[in-house]
Amino acid sequence: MDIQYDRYSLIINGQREFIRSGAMHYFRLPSQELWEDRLYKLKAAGYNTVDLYFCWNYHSPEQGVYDFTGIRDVRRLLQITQELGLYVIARPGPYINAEYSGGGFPGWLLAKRDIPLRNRREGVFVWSDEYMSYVREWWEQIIPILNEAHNIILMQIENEYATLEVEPDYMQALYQMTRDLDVTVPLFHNDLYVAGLYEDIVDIYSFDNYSVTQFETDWREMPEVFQVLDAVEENLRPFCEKRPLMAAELQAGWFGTWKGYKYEKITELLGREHINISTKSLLGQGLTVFNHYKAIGGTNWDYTGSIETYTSYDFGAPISEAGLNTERLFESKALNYFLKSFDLSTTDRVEQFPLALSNSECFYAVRSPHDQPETHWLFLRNLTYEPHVLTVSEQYPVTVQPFEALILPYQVKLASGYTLGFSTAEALYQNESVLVLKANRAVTLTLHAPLSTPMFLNGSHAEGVELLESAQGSLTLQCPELPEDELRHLTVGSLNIILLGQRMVDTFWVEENGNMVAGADMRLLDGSYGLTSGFLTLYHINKSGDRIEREDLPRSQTVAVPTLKHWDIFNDAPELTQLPALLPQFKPVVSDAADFDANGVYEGSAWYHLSLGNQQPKQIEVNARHIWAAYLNGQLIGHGHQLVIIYGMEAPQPVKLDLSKAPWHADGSNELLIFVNGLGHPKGFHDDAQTPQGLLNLLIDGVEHAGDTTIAGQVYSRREMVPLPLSELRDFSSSPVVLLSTIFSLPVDDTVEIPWGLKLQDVDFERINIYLNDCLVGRYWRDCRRQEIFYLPQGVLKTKQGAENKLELLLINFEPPIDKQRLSIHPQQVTLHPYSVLTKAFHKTTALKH
Amino acid sequence: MTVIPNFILKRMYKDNSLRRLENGVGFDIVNKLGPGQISKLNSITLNENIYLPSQIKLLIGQDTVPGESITENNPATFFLNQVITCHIEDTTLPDGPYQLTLDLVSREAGKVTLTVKDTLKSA
Repeated sequence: MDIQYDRYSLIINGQREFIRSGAMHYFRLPSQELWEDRLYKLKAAGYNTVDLYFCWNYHSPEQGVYDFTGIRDVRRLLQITQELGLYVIARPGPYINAEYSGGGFPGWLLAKRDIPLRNRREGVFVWSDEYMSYVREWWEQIIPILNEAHNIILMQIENEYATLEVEPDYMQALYQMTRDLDVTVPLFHNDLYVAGLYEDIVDIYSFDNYSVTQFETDWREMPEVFQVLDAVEENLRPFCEKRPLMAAELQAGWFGTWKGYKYEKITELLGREHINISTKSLLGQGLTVFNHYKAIGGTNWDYTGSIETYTSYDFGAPISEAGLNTERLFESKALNYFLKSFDLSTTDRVEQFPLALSNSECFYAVRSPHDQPETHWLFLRNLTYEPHVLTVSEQYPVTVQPFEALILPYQVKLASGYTLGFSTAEALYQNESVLVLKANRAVTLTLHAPLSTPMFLNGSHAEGVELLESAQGSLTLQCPELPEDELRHLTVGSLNIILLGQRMVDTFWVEENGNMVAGADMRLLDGSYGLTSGFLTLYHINKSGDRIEREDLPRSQTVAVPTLKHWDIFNDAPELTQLPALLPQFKPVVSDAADFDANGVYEGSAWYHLSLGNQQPKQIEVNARHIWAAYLNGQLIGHGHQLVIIYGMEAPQPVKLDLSKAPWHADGSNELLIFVNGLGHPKGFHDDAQTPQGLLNLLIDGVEHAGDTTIAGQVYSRREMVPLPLSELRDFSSSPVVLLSTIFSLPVDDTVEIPWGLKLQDVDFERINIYLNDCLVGRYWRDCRRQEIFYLPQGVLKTKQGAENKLELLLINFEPPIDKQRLSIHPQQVTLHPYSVLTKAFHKTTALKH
Repeated sequence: MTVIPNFILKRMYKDNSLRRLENGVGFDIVNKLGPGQISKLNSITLNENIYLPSQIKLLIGQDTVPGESITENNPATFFLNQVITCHIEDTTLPDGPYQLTLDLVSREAGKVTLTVKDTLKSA
């Protein structure tokens, strides 16, 4: 693929391209089915590019071992993108952040604490040949696979990198390494500070922008959040005289944290307005490469998430974790469709709009294509709570609603040969015979014919449309704001004009063959459309726009949700009752460290053991991350959790336990056991990826004994990889760790599409791990009740007729331990949850062929 | 810690702005990072003199904000390119060169430490 560029845009195989990218984390979608589904939805929403991090950790469980099979088969992933006709922006790290545990560095590398990851310690540049040799090892694995794909257009080196003195050595070395590995596409880096960092090293300068990262205050109260975006052209064009302006990450959501916000709140606060304003603001700055980060939500299944994140990584993304289109997707889809059919790839800023504006309160920018100086795009933006009205050329009244951004056309030559003189409505889509406009406001528009011929207005669905003026070769018409679920169809000469109310805009789709549909919430992978039960009317529009057929769908049958019952119960802490038999599984910790990484337990849980013999110390002090409990001779003597994050850093939080009244054995057989459950590594943004988990210190009467312990790790994690004979022990009266297991099958109905979740309600246990078919798909933490519905990922969840799903809940409760009485789980406390029931419909392409 | 390159931080200090003000001394900082909120003012150090929030006021636009009133729940908003004057209540500082360190916490960037040199001169 030939990738060139100039100050306006990328030029791919000789064609200018406006890059409309959305980010997806394949490592948060644990089935190839999910990749296909989400990428299809991305493409259907008008994105032409997918941004993919390639995560080192995800592929390298042990040093020198790399796995590119199954859910790690990135060749297949790239093949899907090629089949869908998507370009790829590849970001192979080595550091990716992405709220991935350890920022994407593999556990075995995190364990090498003497290595300055990213050639940096506390912000100070520190070169490491050893670190660079491991980076090369990873890139020698991943980059040849990327080179096989023929749709990669850009590649990123590092991620939001800086040192205090901005030394160039590391970035220069990474640049050279990619070239040595035969990467030919332009390279870029994403500058977090929008300050030109490393712009002289990379081919294309790029930046990240997250205008809303705090949700204590509604951004609408502080419209200055867009100041950085508003200064992009002024500040960055000096770096980009010969290359296009590019946003490597443009905020399309934000991540939720254990101590932060639920996604409902994040989604509500960002609203559909934020993505619209921020993207249009950048378009007003002349940017032609953007990447919505992230466009697609995902799941922190297993222990992929960094310490602060809970299981859902929905991100408030346009396409939700469960694969549903949100209002934010509708906004980005409308923008993508507009950019796909109207060319804004070569515009320059123009100081004045040719027509008089009655006021400048909402004026943002005017841009004009450099080779079509008569054409202008007027950018309007209202960052207040009051609607603003302005009149253009004393003829066209425009109301800009609160927190709305508009791009209005002036003298735009249409594919049909007509010219759009001016329109108070935004354009949504066009082809050689159709112009689709957003009639979510009163529309006044003027059209000019290609020749000075008389123009007449007709229409099969033209109620309310009024001809204001008709002259030789031009006409002006108006239409009031349409009700949200209505459309209008007009013809002017050979041009079909379709006006859509707001919901019709949201649910408007263009198929690959040019046919259109309005009324569907989703396009589904099997070629059907998905409709929510509230609106079951579809409008089928043929490619030339002269035929519209209405289809009213029957309401789907009520879906019978299976009840979860017949739970089998297993004691999953036999260490406390049958320690002698299990001691052979315990291994001495490495001499200087008892933490997880040092002992090859990179994520999950572990038991530590120390035989105290005749010692009867008065006090022990435990410093462990993150959730722990200590037992003496099988009885709980203390527990705690440690998740104190101060400005991104974890602070130590040792706990002293008084043993003066502990259950000592007089015969000298005193056994100390400590269970530790880790929440993951920090993401490394603060140079903290190597912060250890597990047992850090064990002071017994003031003397360090952590190094004397033995460890049995990965007991509860990676269950799909490690057989768990211990869980077969059924006999228990009480236990701090209990496994509940059941089997269920889902109802099959080909007329509907249902993403499923598991809902926990009033379940009173400290921690619950949820395993679906041996895959850890949920981590519940009662004290940080941020998530109570857990997505059951398609592909992991078996949905075929009669297919059985194994569901296991690993319950952890230290005080009191779990007994049979606490296990009397009511069927309403753990339920299958349909996120949505989408009625499926297929486009009547046969009927609309002509 | 968040790694903010020193050249960006130093751009935030308005050169030669250390000066005498009523009941003390002051200097100016300009937001060159992006709109954000200061959630804690830790200290200002001028050579060996350490000033705590109770001795500091921030002059933001027309508002005077006592340093100790700035908290996680009551942050001070700081817009892009906005100028804040940091006012220190100390009338005893002599003229001369100073190493100045401003230590604060931003909701967006975390702990931010700005160290520059400037000279205090009487008018």
